Amino acid sequence: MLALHHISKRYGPHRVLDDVGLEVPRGAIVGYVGGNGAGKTTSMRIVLGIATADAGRVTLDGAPVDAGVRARMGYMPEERGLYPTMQVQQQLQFFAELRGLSRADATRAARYWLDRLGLEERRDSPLEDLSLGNQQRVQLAAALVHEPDALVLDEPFSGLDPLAVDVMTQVLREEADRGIPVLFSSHQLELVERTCDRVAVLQGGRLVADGTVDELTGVNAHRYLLRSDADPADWVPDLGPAVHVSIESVADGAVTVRLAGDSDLQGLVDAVRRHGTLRELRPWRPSLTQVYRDVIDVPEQLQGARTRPTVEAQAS
Amino acid sequence: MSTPTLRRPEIAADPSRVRRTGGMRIIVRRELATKLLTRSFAISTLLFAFIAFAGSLFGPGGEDDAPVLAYTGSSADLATTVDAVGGDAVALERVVDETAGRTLVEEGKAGAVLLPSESGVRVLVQDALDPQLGALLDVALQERALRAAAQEAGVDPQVLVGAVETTAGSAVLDVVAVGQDLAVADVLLGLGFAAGAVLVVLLWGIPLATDVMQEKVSRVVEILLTSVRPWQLLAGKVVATTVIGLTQLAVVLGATLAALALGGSLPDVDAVSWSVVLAGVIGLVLGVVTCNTLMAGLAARVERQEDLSGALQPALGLALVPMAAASYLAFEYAESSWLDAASMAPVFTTFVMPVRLALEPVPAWQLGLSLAVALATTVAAFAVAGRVYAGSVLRSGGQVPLREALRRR
Repeated sequence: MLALHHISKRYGPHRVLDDVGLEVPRGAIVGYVGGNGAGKTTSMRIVLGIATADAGRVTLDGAPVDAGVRARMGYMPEERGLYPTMQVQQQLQFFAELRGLSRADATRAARYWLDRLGLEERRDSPLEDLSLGNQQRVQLAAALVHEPDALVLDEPFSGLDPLAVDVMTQVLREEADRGIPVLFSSHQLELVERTCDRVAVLQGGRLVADGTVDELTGVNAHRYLLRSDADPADWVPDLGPAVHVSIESVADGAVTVRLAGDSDLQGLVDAVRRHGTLRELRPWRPSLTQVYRDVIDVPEQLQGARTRPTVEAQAS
Repeated sequence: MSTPTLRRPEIAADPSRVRRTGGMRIIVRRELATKLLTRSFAISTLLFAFIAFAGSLFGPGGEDDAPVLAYTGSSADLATTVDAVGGDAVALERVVDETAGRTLVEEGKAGAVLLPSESGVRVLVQDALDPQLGALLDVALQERALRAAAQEAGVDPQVLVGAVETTAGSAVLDVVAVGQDLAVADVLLGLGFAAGAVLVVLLWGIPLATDVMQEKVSRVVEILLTSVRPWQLLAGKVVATTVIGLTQLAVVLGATLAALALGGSLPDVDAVSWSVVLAGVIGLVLGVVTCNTLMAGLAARVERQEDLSGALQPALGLALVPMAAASYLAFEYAESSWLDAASMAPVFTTFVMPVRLALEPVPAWQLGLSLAVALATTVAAFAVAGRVYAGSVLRSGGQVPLREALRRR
């Protein structure tokens, strides 16, 4: 398991990471999400030793990640790091040799990944002659060419066409199935939901959510879609002081209601009916995007700009 | 797209292959493969070699380089003596009068005009008397005085000259012009190595610096540094660039020598020349490595092309200032202790010692000290550049101040 333990990092007065703890089990794909500047890239750079943490440590299977361990990791930086004028195969062989492969192994591994990613026709082309999507495939191949013990990928899906996304997803799953931990960051939450076994949400340098997709999207949470002509402002106070609800309006005047803990569903029905007609009430599973919005503190001035404002209410 | 039947190859990674010089060798190989074994390198090198070959074969010969001494009819006697003493080392040109001679000097067609004066001889020059001409004139004046004294003493000057010429340590053997001429050739040889170092630094050090900056900007360096240490990356790039630059210089030099051989004008090489060549080659290699190392280290501080030249100034200064110092000291302060000091001083030694060897015998201990200082300078440059490189290359967001780059982390 790849693990970050209490990682903190400051750049001058700015705290970038604050006591971040994250676990990426072997065989699992973990999606690392968060807004711009949340600290995703910094924490990944710390894992790879490109940046140093002010506090905390990184381990792989319990052992500290040192230069030797890092050499066995695969890394794909957000701003693509390859030589534009170097031939694709030559480039992959170079990175493979830098990871400790013999020249013969490096050649075979480079050929395999070019074939695997559909780039066999372009092996002798300079990288800059490839489309951006194909350059990204080469970048992935560079991260995989030495058969890494762990994969850390910063925004691997950005800019990819749907077909390339499918290939990338398939490859990541194969790597995880090989038994290695895979951590990748992304802003594409639908993709993360579809691809990942676990999701970690980072906000302002702090980990604010971490769990399986099912856990986060609340299979066990009491979420309902409710359609009524009654105004929530009228019926929420009727729920009683012990009931904590989160209400988010969706299309056609419907709202989603999340009842905390063991709240009584019948109590909700009664409260709504006292102020109007209850037209629809059914269990509701939110998307990861909605969960993300739930756990991220959206600044007040931005809330008004949202098309689907979230209302957090404490019944009183 | 994907081929399901593809079989993943069995591979075995051994991180020890990348440790220490192993990682450096991989970096060197990549640099050589992408810069040395390329069509553009072959074309540019062949072009330089062709220019050097043609220039050496068809360019002006060495004879034209002999300084021209103009003289009038009334100074013909002394001019004849100068001619006898200087041989090929001086060219004489008779002029009608002082005005005509002055014109020649002003137009740069003569180095000096020899004119009679009441007190002896007057020499008209543009700025300063050419040292070679000065030495010849001294000898000629001495010989003329000797002849006059002999005549006054009742000795036949021809007999005196005959006696002198057959005596060891005679005035003819003492003709400084002969020795001086060879020294000039060796001084130029020594300076040639210094100029070669500057040329290689300018031609290849600046692209190396640009390369370092681009690796930083493109973030390739982030991937590289997950596998190798900064010093391995820096050393690999510097070694490869030095090899490439020196290879190109060697090809151009070879073309020049081939042209000289074809033209039958290969210079005579004696023991002094060989010592200059040996010191020059060592100085050239160490000088280039030192400057390239500093350029690569300093380039890691910046992210924009427009910031690069400013960042490289200190390293360029370390090539150009010693080069200028070597030329100045050789021609203006050849006898001074400044030349001795500079030939053993850090940074300067690689450029100045070959020139000093051309001018005078150098004690063995001073040669040893010079080599030790040169090696220590290279090691110190690598230590400083390595620190700046490691402290800068992973930092983005503008130019990294030198003090921050050097700060211990």
